[in-house]
Amino acid sequence: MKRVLLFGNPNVGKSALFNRLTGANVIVSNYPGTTVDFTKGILSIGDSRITVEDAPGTYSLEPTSVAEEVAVNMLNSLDKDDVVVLVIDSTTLERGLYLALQVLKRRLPSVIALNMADEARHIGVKINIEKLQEILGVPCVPTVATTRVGISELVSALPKAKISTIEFDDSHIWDKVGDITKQVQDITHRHHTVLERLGDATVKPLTGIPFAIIIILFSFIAIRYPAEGLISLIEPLFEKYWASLMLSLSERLGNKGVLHNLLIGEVTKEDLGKLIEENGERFILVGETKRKIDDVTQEALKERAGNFVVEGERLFVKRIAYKESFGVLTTGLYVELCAILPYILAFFLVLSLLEDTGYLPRLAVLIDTLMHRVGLHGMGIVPMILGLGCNVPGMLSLRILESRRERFIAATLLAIGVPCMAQTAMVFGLAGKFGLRALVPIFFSLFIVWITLGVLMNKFMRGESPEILLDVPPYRPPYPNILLKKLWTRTLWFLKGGVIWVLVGIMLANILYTLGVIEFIGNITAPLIVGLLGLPKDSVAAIILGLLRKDVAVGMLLPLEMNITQTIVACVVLTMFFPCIASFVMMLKELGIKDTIKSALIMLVSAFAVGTLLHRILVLAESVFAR
Amino acid sequence: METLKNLTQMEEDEQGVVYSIEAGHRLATRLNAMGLHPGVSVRLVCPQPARGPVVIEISGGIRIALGWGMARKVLVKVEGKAE
Repeated sequence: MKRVLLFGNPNVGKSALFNRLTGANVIVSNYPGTTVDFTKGILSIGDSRITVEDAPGTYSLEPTSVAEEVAVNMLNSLDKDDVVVLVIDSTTLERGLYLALQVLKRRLPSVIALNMADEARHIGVKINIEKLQEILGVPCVPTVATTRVGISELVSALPKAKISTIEFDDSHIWDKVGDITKQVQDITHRHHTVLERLGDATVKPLTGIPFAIIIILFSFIAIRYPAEGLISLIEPLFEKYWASLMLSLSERLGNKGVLHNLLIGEVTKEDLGKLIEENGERFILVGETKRKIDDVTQEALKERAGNFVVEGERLFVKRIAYKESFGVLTTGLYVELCAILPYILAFFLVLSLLEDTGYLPRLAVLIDTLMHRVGLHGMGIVPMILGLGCNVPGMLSLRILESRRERFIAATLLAIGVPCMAQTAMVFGLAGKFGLRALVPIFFSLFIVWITLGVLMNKFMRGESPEILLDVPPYRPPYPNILLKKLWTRTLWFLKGGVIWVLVGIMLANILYTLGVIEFIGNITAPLIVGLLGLPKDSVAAIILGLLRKDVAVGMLLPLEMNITQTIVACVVLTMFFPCIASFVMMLKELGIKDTIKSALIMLVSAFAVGTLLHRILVLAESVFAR
Repeated sequence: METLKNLTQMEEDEQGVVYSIEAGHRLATRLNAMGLHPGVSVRLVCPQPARGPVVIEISGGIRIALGWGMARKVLVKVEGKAE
């Protein structure tokens, strides 16, 4: 036995089984198409180590999407030394058998895992395992991947995998399936369960649309408040402990130099006043008032002597202004950990809940008609929602869309009109001080851009959008361990990808500034940036380095002290402009070079066009209001 | 009383047995593999407005959403409303 392949219909729990077999942390959700690419892991049985592969789900051996093609190719690559584990959802035995029979005819050593055995029992489906084994001629094991039931039995069944000798007429597979299920399956007549009724109610327009609105509003609240709470916990750590650590590091580095600027950046000095001494006592002159430095302050001054500096006759206190200092260890860490991470955590928690319960496909059905206007079908909402967290998993999930045209439209909309959490945090960081007056125009503009671009692409691109054809899974209670593991996987992955690029970005920014490159480009592009968009010349650096990570741009735009009009334009243009480098690479992988260039051109043109238009409108609005 | 309707003509909670699928090879194969084939019993869960997709339940509790154009190609021998 060299390789073990997990193969079966979409959403039967192949990835959950894979995680149980290999101890991996592959993402598991309750909707078809969560896994779009193959994953490999290692299963240790005694001394031998076996490669286990998790395939995307497929309904038949004639693939109709990229993901299904991956699955079928994986099956085709197996030989007689390998084992295929056919994973079947016990609650939908017939459909599972339909695919299983076709695979069994490939005459490969096989084992059948009858997953979700608990759910089947719960809804009154009984399967005679022995009888099924006898008919199919391969070992059958009931499993519950989410709670680890039957996993060790499955592992010990692997070496006993057999080649089936079952015969049937290829044009009458369903007859054979019906014949087998009649023999092995016993269904107690049942009424629809509460969850089933809820499932149907949330997909019917009359009840489903109000429910969707409530879910969306709830999601906003469930992201915002926990995230803000988390920030209020993390911020003091930065202000108190990390700041003093950074200040002493700054001392050690001699308060200046290349390394100092890179790691810490600028240390803010706050003027406390003029220091004077009269009759042996020390005072600070703040403006006109003379304040005595009492014993307590003296103590404090001594204790934190390094933070106080006397220059000439004036007394300064050194502070780390995290939003402006622009060092790798100051602004870099602060933006990542204090401004973005809390939102990422909260977002992925809420998203995981929506995924694991099985709500997303219902939303997809409800929104299908609207999504067709922008050239996508309902499932196109999945990459968009994932993209609100991070564009990279959004780009990856494009594979659930069938046609190249759809993937192109979705990728372009995702890159231009869907702000990821880092971009949203950037927008809040820059425009938050103006309140809703700035935030509403920014997000509204992006929404309008998203729709307009979608409608235009749908109109001018050849072909039409395919119709939705989607399995709507039953609602299932989310499993906390699966949910937390998924949250952990996604967060870790954000930190790995994110922190590195932010650090590289800040480093590059410092180097380019020092070399004068930024100023040079700023001068060249000034007519565009200043003339058309009305932004300060220095903002060009943010636009360029925003390519690496949008979070870097915040730190570069904040010190420019832009007015509200400039802030709105800068936020919209920056969000529309190139996605970060990580999602750009992913886009290249998914679309290929030609389509990526096309998409990038659309991005460039629309970002400048929208920026220019927005600038004009806002200036006009300003003059109207001023009158 | 039995009548032949396609899925877009069926009303909420009407049920019946799939009579035929008048689609091309590719779509027919796919629907077939998803469990929607002649002879299977089907209940209409709900249609979506403005020629949106319809949601159906087929035997075994499977729910499938399929676009209006596809739904039109699935003919069902309607047996009346589910209680």
